[in-house]
Amino acid sequence: MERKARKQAKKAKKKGGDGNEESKQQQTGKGKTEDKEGQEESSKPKKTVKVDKTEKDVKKETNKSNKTVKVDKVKPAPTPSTSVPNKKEENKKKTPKEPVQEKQQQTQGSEVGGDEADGATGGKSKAELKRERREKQEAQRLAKMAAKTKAVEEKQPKKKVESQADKKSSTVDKKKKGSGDAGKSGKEKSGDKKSTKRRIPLLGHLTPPALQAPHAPVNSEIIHPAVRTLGIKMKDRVIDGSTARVISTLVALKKLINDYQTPESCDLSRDLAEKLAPNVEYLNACRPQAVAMDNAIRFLKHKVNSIAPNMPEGQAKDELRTAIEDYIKENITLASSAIASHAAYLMQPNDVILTFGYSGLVCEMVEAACKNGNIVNVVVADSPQPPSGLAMVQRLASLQVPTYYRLITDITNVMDKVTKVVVEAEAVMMNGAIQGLCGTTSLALAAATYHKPFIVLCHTYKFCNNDLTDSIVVNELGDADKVVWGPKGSNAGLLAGWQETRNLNVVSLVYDVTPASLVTVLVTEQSVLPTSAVPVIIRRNYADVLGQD
Amino acid sequence: MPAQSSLSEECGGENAALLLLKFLKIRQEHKMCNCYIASVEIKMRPEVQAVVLAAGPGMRMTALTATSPKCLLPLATLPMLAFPLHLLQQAGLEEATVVVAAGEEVRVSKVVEQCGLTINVDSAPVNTSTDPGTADSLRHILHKIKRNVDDVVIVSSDLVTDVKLQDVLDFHRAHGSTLTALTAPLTPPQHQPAPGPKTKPFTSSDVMVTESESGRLVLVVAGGDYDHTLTLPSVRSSKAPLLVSTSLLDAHLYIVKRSILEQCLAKESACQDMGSFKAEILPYIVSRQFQPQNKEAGPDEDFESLVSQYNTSVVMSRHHTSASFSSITCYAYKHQGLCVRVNTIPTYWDINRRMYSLIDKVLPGLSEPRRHPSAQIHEKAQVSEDSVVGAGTLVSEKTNITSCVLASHCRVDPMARLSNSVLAHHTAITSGCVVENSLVRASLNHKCVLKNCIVTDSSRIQEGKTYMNEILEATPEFV
Repeated sequence: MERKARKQAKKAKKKGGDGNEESKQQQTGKGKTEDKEGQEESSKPKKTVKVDKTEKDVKKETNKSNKTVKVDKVKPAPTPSTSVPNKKEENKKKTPKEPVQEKQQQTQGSEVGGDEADGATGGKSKAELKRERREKQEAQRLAKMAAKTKAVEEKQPKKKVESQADKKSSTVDKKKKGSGDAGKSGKEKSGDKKSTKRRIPLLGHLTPPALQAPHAPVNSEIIHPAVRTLGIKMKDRVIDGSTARVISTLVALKKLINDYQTPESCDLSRDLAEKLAPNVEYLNACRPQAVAMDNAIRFLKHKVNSIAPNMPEGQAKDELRTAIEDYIKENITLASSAIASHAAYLMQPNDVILTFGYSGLVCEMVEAACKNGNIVNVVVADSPQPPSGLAMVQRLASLQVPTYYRLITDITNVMDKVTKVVVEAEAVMMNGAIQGLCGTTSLALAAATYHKPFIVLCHTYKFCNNDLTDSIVVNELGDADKVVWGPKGSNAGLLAGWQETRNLNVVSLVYDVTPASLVTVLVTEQSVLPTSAVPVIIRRNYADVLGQD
Repeated sequence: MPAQSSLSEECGGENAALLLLKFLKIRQEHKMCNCYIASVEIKMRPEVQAVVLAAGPGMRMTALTATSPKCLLPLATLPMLAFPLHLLQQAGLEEATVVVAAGEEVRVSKVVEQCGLTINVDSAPVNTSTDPGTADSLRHILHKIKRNVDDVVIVSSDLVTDVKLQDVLDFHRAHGSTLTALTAPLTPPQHQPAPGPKTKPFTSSDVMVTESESGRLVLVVAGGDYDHTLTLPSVRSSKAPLLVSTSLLDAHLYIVKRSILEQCLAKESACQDMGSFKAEILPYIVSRQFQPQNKEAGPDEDFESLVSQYNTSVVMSRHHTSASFSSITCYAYKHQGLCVRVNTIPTYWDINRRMYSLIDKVLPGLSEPRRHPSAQIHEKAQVSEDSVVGAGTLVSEKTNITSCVLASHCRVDPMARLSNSVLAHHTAITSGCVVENSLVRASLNHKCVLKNCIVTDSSRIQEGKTYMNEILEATPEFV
């Protein structure tokens, strides 16, 4: 623990040392960091009036702090490194990373806690622990002071220094553990990339789409080939749509489990969970996980964790494989046909159904309705980018269903002919809100305006115990360049250089959120429900999986 | 844990923190050990195995390959083989199987340490007396291909490129490709003319037919396998526009699924008599894409049909609902950067002359200095900036060297003048020689003037003579 504290102090000091150089660059006046400062607000005017004095003060203070730090056995006077000028970029980088970092700290914290618990059994008194903690705090405080004195000059928020030091030390510690190196380096790399791209106002918290798969050497010891292939396919959108992604993720992880061998002196459940983590992280770096994927992975992790330690490896692997297969069968194959028949029951002869883009579930529903003898007409509204509805039309045409293809811009013209709007949800939130592919909400609004029922089909494994009220907080950024280049025509690429154009932001969001009030009815494999029943379903079915966090 | 109990006894007031620190350290080390052992014991299944085909005799550059195997010919100061090996190493591959001509194993395996590479080379000798083709070489090492890899990367030893193998692999993975071939636009050599007698350039180029957007290979015919006309077989059902090209270089870098490679190389397969991978097996695999396949009716282990049923992607692939993909799909990865096969004298000459500017691009991370520190250049010697000087080379005073490549351990005596020339390892240039635009692979012991010449036998040089556009090689014994 003291070691950690020392490291922090060193890091903070180093930052402080760097500060001198940086301040020269920053003194020209950078407005961006100022509003973040808060605490040092008061010191600023002083600085601008009497620069000399503050500098002197700072020198004095740093000397002092150097001394005090020396007492605390921190190596003095680190040489200022030259790798600072892109502080601004670091600033940007930090925002999306923070949750990860918090997680790291959490895990670390729990570990340390474990160690302490072990120590306590070995005769550690509370007072001793307290004392250590105080020492650590002291060291941190000193480090902070040292950093702060410089920070006053360089207008660097104190908080940042601290958190950076924390972050670094925690990553260092994590690396020491020797696992997940490749995954991490991949993450850092994607972080670098982020900083080069411009952030969009209001949506700065969302990860921009990965241009390249995170770097990992060929024949990596950590990332399974199937996982890597899948990651690249998801990144390139070769596999898209939450259901397809869930199935292929589970299949890839099944392959991993197939090839997995427990090392000696290790529990299968513990070791496998450790091996799964970087692979899941890799998939996440290729493309942010969909809610449904998150649920499926949680399910798998839960299964892995609940394997008894004394179970033979072969049996455990068999159990996991069948668990995965059953999960796909129950939650997707069988559930889909149940949903299709439930929804087909709602259809009447000569209904005109409006749907959005490609949806396997809606196709199955139409198929089931046809089998019931209800000939329905389908209007496929499609977004221009990506035009997934084309495949939908093709599939419906092969079922010999009367089909109309329209772009979503044009749905108001067909709304009075339409009798029902049926869409598939990507996820359903605890508050009944529907996360669908971007464009779904327009259909819901149109349905509400024209007083048409808005029917949402969804598997219950896509239910999620989060509340969402808008599509900004949780969303995914699509490739904005595709929007710019989208339609093939003479003016394609007119905005090719949009990133250089100031005040122009091109945004492509993947999901949108439809509030529960716009949803007439939710069709799940369990029954046809109002959105207010969502919490019941989540509680009933997923308490064991969703509960553990 | 024993460390813990002993520590807890010692624990007393003042030292507690220090001891705890010690204790944590021990624990951490312990943990690290565990992890280390774990990572040694259990590795993730390897995905890719690399095979370098380096047994080629260099039939199109016999003047140079008479004395040394093609894969060891120096490009600047490094042997040719170092380039594909470096390409593999950059991608993170830790070992490669290198097929070499029998008798050259030792020299080949020395290449690795000589060039500062870290990749493990497993050299597999083949008997070259029967003139084996690339397919024969592959058949020879088939047993060395691990049973659990997904893909095999096949690289020719004469490939010089700045492509990132990772990108090609990612392309291969994303498309679910059975065979991916690296292609690049053919570029004419920049440095002309090459030394030696004037010859007609090698004209018959490969014909490649690809779908212009996806890059899917539709037809491949190797150069020389067709006459003036070529008939496209009507095998296609998709309406994607096709691109017929004769200006694409097939770089001889293939990523092939292990299963299909084994199928093709097996004894009872249809291609058991095929000798060349590129000219025969590649067209065979490509043509098999469009043959009707009897779909295996077994249980769908990978839920592939289920995935395609729910896939909302707009990218055509085997996971797409409306796509009817057979189990074999071949793609061409189109690389826009540098990509050269060094298999003729003009390309060898060109790459050698360009190596000064290319070396950072094609060997990133392997800092081979253009002026080796152990080279001794006399201060009164004039050596132009764009010359490459290898290790242990001695350049005497009053010499003039412009745009030359001097490989390692060369000796240039006083009063020699070299321009636009390439010297092989251990070549000595006696004083007073004038060498222009020439490829010198043997010591010049007599004063002479060489223009556009290739020298492989020094005994052919006579004192004071001038040679133009000649190949001065050892005469075959029977003459």
